[in-house]
Amino acid sequence: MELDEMKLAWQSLDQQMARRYALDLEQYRERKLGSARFRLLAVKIGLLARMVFGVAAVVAGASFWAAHPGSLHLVVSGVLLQAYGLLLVASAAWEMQLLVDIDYAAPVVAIQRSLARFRAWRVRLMPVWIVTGCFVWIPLTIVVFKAWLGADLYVRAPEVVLYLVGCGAVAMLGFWIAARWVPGAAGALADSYAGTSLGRSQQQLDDIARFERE
Amino acid sequence: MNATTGDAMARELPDRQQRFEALLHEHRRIVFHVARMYAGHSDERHDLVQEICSQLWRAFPRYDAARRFSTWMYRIALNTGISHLRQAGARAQRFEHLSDELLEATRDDAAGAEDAERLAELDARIAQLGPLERALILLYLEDRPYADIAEVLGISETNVATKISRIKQRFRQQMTRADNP
Repeated sequence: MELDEMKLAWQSLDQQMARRYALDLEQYRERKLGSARFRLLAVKIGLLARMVFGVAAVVAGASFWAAHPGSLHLVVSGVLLQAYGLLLVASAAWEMQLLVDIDYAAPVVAIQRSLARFRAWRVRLMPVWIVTGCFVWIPLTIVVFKAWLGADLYVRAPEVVLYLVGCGAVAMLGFWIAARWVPGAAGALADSYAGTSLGRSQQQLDDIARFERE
Repeated sequence: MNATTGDAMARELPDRQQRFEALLHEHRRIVFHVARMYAGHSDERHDLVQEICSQLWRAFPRYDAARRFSTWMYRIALNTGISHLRQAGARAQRFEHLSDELLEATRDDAAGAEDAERLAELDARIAQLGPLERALILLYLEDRPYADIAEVLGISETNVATKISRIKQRFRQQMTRADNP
């Protein structure tokens, strides 16, 4: 079939398509205009919650290490919590900016390039979230015990801290083994987090660049 | 009533939702065609129609009435369709099922058989195209001028012409190979 024959076949579908999908438009008019607004709002609320949590971690971490300048492990715990908070705030702010900036009414190639870059960025950031997710509990627990209960966990029960380090290491090892040895696990993980794998997101960027070239 | 007259009347409506609904109705075929191009089977197409409408409504407050509604609508619908195809890519859904139109065409007469064959070929050709090529071909199949296609996609007119010519050539070569295995 040549392209001009495709055109005839496509045009012959027109009436069938109009008949088949007209009901979808009716349903949309009746029910969905409000829900579109609600879905976008839900995404924004999620990002705002991440930012609020991040700001709380920054404030708690900074005030904690400032209050215990004489103890290295407490300063390190406070700084790590603060750094984690900054990461949360920065990533949420960046995603929020993108959400506001991406205008689907812009030219198709430009928008697809922005989306592909965004996906690639999220895939590259994924190992950072895995590592921080495995270990952030340690400084958080030390800060909470000291700030709320007045107990220095690292001094009074170092075995608990070691246990948390061990759990984090095991969890990270589990991720590494799954990503390295279980077929499809790394791709599935990336898919669930960023909607694509690193290889596929790079492939998409290459495809777009090729499409732009004459 | 042609699209331009319909657009002008729709833009006169006082309420934003009414204006949107009138314009959507006027240009509804764009939504159907994009859904047909980017979703593999019936359920997905119905979902994609809804998703495109949601994206259109979400973007409508930023629509500049001085610009053509159809261009704006094509961009949003195509971007939504491409995103849908990329998400569905992992599920490998492309035209594995018989399309509704194909089933409808599969009747017990010669004309029905011919329609079915033609639609099967159409789907097979579409399945070979990447997401951006589908956008290009959709606009070509709709008889849009090259200048419009370039504006919607954000590439030059020369690039549009070159790409269409290459796709034509590719299809011809495939036909030649199929005829002379």
